[in-house]
This record gives sequence, C-alpha cells and structure tokens, in this order.
Amino acid sequence: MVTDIRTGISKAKRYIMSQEFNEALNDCLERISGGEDLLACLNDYPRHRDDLESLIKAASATSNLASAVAPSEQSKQRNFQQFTHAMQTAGRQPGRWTWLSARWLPVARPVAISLAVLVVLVTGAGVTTAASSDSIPGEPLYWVKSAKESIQVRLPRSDDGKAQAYADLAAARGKEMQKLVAIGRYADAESAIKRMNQHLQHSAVLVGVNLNSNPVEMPAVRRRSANSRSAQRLQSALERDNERMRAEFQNMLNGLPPVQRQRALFMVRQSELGYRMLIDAMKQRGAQSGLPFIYVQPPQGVAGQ
Amino acid sequence: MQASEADRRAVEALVKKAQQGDSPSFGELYERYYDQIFRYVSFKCGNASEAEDITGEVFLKMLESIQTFKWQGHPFTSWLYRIAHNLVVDHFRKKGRRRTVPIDNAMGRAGVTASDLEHRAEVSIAIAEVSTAMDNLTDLQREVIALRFASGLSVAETAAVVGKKDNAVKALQHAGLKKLRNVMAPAPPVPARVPHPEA
Repeated sequence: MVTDIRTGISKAKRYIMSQEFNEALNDCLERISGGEDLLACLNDYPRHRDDLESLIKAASATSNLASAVAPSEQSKQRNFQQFTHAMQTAGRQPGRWTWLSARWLPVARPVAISLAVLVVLVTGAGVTTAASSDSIPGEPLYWVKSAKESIQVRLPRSDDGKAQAYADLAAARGKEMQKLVAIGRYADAESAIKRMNQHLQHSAVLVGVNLNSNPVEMPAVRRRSANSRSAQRLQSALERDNERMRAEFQNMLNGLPPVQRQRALFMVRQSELGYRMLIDAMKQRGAQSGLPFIYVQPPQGVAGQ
Repeated sequence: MQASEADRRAVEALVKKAQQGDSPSFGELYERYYDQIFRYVSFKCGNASEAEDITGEVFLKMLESIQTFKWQGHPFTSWLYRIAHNLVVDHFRKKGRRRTVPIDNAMGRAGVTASDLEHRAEVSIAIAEVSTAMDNLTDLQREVIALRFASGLSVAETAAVVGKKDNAVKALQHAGLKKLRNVMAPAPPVPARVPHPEA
C-alpha cells in the first residue's frame, strides 16, 4: 500500500476522501441552487464545513458574474431574422413535412431514390436527364437532377471515386449559383454556395483531410482505398474548377450593380475559400504535414454515411 | 439545475415537431436556449461580439442538423452544447491561422445602435472579469465550470457534453472551483505604512 509520508494517509484512502468531498460539494451546490439555505447544507457536512463554504461562495460568485452576461435584444433579433430566413430557405414552412415524420425519412429517402431511378429508366430518359442537368432549384426538372446526383455519388466503389463525384457536384452548385444570381434569386444562390461547401467537405473527408473537424456536421467516414494518383487527379480537377469558376464569377460580378455585387462577391469569396482550403489541405497531406489543417485518420470500423 | 421530467418531455415534443419541419417549434427552441448558449459561448471565447456571431451559427447548425439528432439517453441540450463547443473550437482554429480585424470594433457593423454598444460594453466587462478568473483553469475545468455555472446544466448533462463520467465532472468541478476561489478571494488588507523614524 502506498502511503504519504507527511500525512500518513494511504493513496486509496485519500482517493475515497476526495470522492466523498466531491459528492458533498455537488450535493450542496444542487441544494442551494434549488433554494435551500447554505447553513443547512454546511451543517450536514461539519468535517468539510470551511472548505465547502469557500468553494460554494466561489461558485456563487461565478454564477452571479454569468448572470450579468446576456445577449443584447438587438443582436438576438438580428440572429433570429437570419434563423427564420434560413428556415424559409430550407423549405421548412409549417406542415410541409408533417406527413413525412423523421422516423420514416431513412426509409423514404432510398425509396424515393429507387423510384427516381425507375422513372428515369422507364421514360427513357436520356432526354429528361439531359434536360434536367441545366435546371436550377425551383424548376420542374430539378428533382430529376437531384435524383441523378444522389445516384452519381453512390455509384463509385472507392472513396477517391466518391470524392471526385462530390467535387463534380460542387462545380454544379457553382453553375447554379451564377444562374440564380443572374435572375436575382440571391437567397437561393447563397444556399447553392453553402451546398457547394458541403460537397467539398464531403470530398475532404473521403480523401482523408478534415477541414474543420466538426463531428456534428461531418461524421467520420471509413476510407475504402487510398490512391495517391487519384488524389492527385482530384486535386488537379479542383484547381481547374476553381480557376474556371473564378473567371466566370468575374464576368458575373462585372455585370452587377454595386449593392448586388457586394452580396455576390461575398458568395464568390466563400466559394473560393472552400476550394482553396481543400486544395491546400490536400497539398499539406501530400507533404505529410499536419499544419495548418488537421489530418484525421478516420477510426476503423465506422460505417460510411 | 436538474431539468424536471415535465421540462424534459416538453423539450422532447418540441424537438420531434421541429424534426417534422414545424417552424413555431424551432422558434421556441431558439427562445428557450439562446441566452444560455450565448452565456456559455461568452465564457469560452471571452468576447461579446464573437459570442453573438457564434451563437447565431449554433442555431443555424441546429436547423441544418436536427434531422440527424436521435434520442440516445442524452438530453437535447447536450447535443446543442456539443455544436456550440465545436463551433467555438473551429472559430479559434480559424482565428489562429488568419489575420482578423477585431470585430469588437462594432462601430463599423451595420445595424449596431448606441444602446447596443452600451449593452455590449457592459457585457464585455463582465466577460473580461470571467475570463481573467478562468485564466488558470485547464480547458476541461473551464468547460465544466462554463456548463455548470454559466449555463446551469446538471452534472449528468455536463457529463454528456464533455464525454466524461459524472464522477470525473464532479472532480473537475471541485478542481476548477478551487482555482477560482484563489483568484476571487479578497486581497488581504494592505498594512498601514509606518514612517521611517529617520524620515
């Protein structure tokens, strides 16, 4: 048994004592926050009375300080406006999805995709799919394009192939954004850029780089293959897409009035940042350097999404 | 600090409705959690303007990802705080690698009024005091103190957010408060200066 020479108390006993104290402290904190008197609580733990009292006072001072921290009504309102705007953009108006509960979504999605495939096959639909490829959100054929894209990202067997498919989708969102800006649908154009960045993040995860290491929005994905040549091809494709889009965006910006140009410029910057981050992260990965991006080795056995 | 059973059921119903796309439920969730998320983010980042922006992002992220939320024995708040935590970490990572203009220079921001600035100044002072006091805490101790005393989460809820067991949270709480006690303890009175006999 390991014993402290100064106090003569064994490590095990000290551990138990500290556990006891932690419990007592927590009990008092809970009771006081529930409205009980400090003295009543201290009386229950006479052995720890002094220590408990000073710690509870520190906790209470911290809580008081925290209660002085409150958001201003104006900033709260501003954020709420953004929130409601995003809610409308996401098409979550009341009742719209009420028939399709979250419980059925995992089932409904594959069924919808299968139906889309069937429709595309039965109607022969090279014509339909070709016509849909130029469509933008809100147009009648856009659902065909979405269904086709869902299939496109599922078809490749390797992660590198899937990463390339997501990169293609990102480029498609860039084209949609330009069309949406041209007809003045800025909110939808912003959504397109947001989706573009989501596609790029999916690509990032699939090639083994994580741009923001946020598990809430980017669950870990198992890599099925690692091929430096296909990674190189993807990097080149991304660079090419970025260059092409930069030129197209420049033309688009030149034709806009000043106020709209500012808004569109912000979207262009977001798009460029998304591409640059991924391209730079891939270069860093090639150089086996961890900075400035985090290289995440996805855990083994975690199923892909 | 512990959420009551009725509260838990009310939140569960709200989340279910929100997952089905019910706008008023999203609004209620926003109203219910905005202030406490703001306090938590302020404790973590020590800057009112940045905390406002990050808090806004937390709720946008909630809107985006609520379909992926599943009840797995953890309360909804754990999930929400996890989003907030991740966004604060991302924010610092981005801030660390990019030169930024201090956004507390709020005069340059559109839509910021004088009363807003005054409020922000008051909040900034409170946040600065908290930040100074929490300077000596480890990241985990700071996290636990912020969740427990800024947001009022229970030990179990805090444990779910930080991914530790209840006992570990209690130990971190104890260690964090011990350090805060040392900082917050009033300074001993300064002894009166005795004039030198030869002076």
